[in-house]
Amino acid sequence: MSSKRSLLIHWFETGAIPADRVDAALAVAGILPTARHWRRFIDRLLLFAGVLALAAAVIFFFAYNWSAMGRFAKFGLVEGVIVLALIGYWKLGTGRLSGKSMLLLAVLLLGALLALFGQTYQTGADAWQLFAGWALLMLPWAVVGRFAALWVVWIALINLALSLYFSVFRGMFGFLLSEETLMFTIFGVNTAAWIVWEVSTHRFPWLNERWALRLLALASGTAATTLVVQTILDWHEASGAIVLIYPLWVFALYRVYRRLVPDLFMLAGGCLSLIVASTGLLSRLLLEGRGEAVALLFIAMAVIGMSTAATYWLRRVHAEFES
Amino acid sequence: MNPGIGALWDQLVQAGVVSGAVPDGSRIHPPWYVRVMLGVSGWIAALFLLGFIAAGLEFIIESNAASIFAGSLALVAAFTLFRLARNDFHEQFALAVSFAGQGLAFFGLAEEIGWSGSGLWWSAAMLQIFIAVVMPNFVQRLVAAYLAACTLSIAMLLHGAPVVVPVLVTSGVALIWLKEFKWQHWSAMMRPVGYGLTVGLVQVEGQALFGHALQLFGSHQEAFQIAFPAWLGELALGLLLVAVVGRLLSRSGESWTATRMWAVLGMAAVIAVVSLKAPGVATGFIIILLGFSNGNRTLVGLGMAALLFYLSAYYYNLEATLLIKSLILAAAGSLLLGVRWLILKWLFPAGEESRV
Repeated sequence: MSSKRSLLIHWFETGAIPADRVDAALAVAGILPTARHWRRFIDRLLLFAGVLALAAAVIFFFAYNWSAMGRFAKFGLVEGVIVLALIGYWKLGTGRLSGKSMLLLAVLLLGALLALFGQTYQTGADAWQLFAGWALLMLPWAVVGRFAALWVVWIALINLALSLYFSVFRGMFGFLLSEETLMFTIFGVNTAAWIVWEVSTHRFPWLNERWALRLLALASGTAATTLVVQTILDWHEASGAIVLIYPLWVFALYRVYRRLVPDLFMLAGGCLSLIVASTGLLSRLLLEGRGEAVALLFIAMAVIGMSTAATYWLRRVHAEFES
Repeated sequence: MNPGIGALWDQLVQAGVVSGAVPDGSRIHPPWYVRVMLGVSGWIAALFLLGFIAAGLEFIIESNAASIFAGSLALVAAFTLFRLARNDFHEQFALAVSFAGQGLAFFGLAEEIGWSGSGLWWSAAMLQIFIAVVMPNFVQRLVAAYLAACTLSIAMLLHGAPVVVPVLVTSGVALIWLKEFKWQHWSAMMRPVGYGLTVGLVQVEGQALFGHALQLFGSHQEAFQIAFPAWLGELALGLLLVAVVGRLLSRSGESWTATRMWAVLGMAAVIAVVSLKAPGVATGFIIILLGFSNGNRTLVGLGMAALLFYLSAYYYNLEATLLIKSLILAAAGSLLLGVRWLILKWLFPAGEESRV
């Protein structure tokens, strides 16, 4: 739909569609909403806004009274809402989106419950234990729920737990590289999840959500690129393992998303990662000695050149995918 | 050639809208994430360029006049490059040069005029408006429109009337999107400016809500203060909402004197009143309605994100206690649901043939 829209706009701007025929063209292409569309839209919009306002009113009210509420009232409140959400999940239908959203809400509230527990009983637990516990407890629900968003939340929690764990135990084993180890772990976890997810989409059709895969790819790619740049800039202190892993990662990305499962987003992300890594490499090589000014200019030109080449290639691939 | 293009063109030919063969050079624009990549790369290159100038041509940085002059030269060069651009390389380079030139000119101006005071921000806004009008490039125009909204907002903030700019920008946004398919020759400029202003609007309206933003700029206040109370701004935005709703309805054939028109306008007014106490509601609704009426899903998404953003900002607003805010929200929610019920059951019941 959006590409039809941009096509019409392009034709209109270049004069291929005369100005007085634009309305007719829009009607033919079905871009503008009809009365039925409007009705459904206003229905949903006002419902969304109204429910949001009411929910916010309730939350604000409880926030106002929070300090005055007793221990049992607080726990009762959160647990009560979780139970309500679960009833909603059951009543609205476990297969429908509305029901699954209720389950998602329940999972999020579970985190609130754990936080409340930690705050009330002062167990002395670390932050990472909260997230790890949350991930553990929500696992059965994720398995039962058959909802991609739940698994995304689960993976996000694992990531958070790991990051916080490393920030606590940083100096414990005397590792200077613990930040690199954290990045490697994040990279490993997300890449593994990515691979498993991509492979499982055939078996479990409800997993076939591109946005979730793209999020995982984003996490994996960010970790990989950060590792590469850190290794380049800190050559003596880094372990250098990424030098072997990164080319493999890029190659696999290309093979899978160019041929097997066409996805332009992944390829664009891969291009960006390569550009950043190359910029890091160039900075390292050229900015050490004299002639810094010229080096900066050269790197600027290199960045432009690389991204132009990438855009050109992506455009070609895009045209190929569309046909 | 892409079969989708051909199919659409055939559809149009059959309906008698156009005739002849598919125009050359038709191609589907790259998706948004490729465009984002373009913008980000342009910025990275510009930073390195600026670094080069700072490192190699130090005498330019030291002189304010030279900075401004060099910046202007760069902008002229960028303009020429944009006009001559035949491929992505030229476009990219021109973007980088343009951003670098703007940065240079801005710093020169800042050193010359002074960092405190609104003069700098007025000048910056003028520059961005000039760039948005003149530079023939989508990304550049979008960023310029966004920056224009932000700098204007800062300038007005220093003059004590932060809500003027959201009203002005909203009017601009409404005008642009209502006429989206009417601007033929100006369309190449209006579309990116529309998007840039919309994003700028969300930011600027949000900033007006955070009343303590003034402290960011020291407690410097211009001698010339404009008395424009906050509620007047929200009232104006509410009126704009009613106007937009009226325009959309009349555009689809409803007469201005019909009962139904007045009923819907009345309901829009109710929502506007809600916005007086819960700021941002009118703005969010305007963006959503304009987006939907043009089949623009990006805009609708932007409007919904804006509503959520304002709701979070409302939580931290210090003007009333949480209890009062909770009551206001409850009233607002009930009103919205009531309006919905009225519209669905009474004004536009299902099954009725309506030309809306």
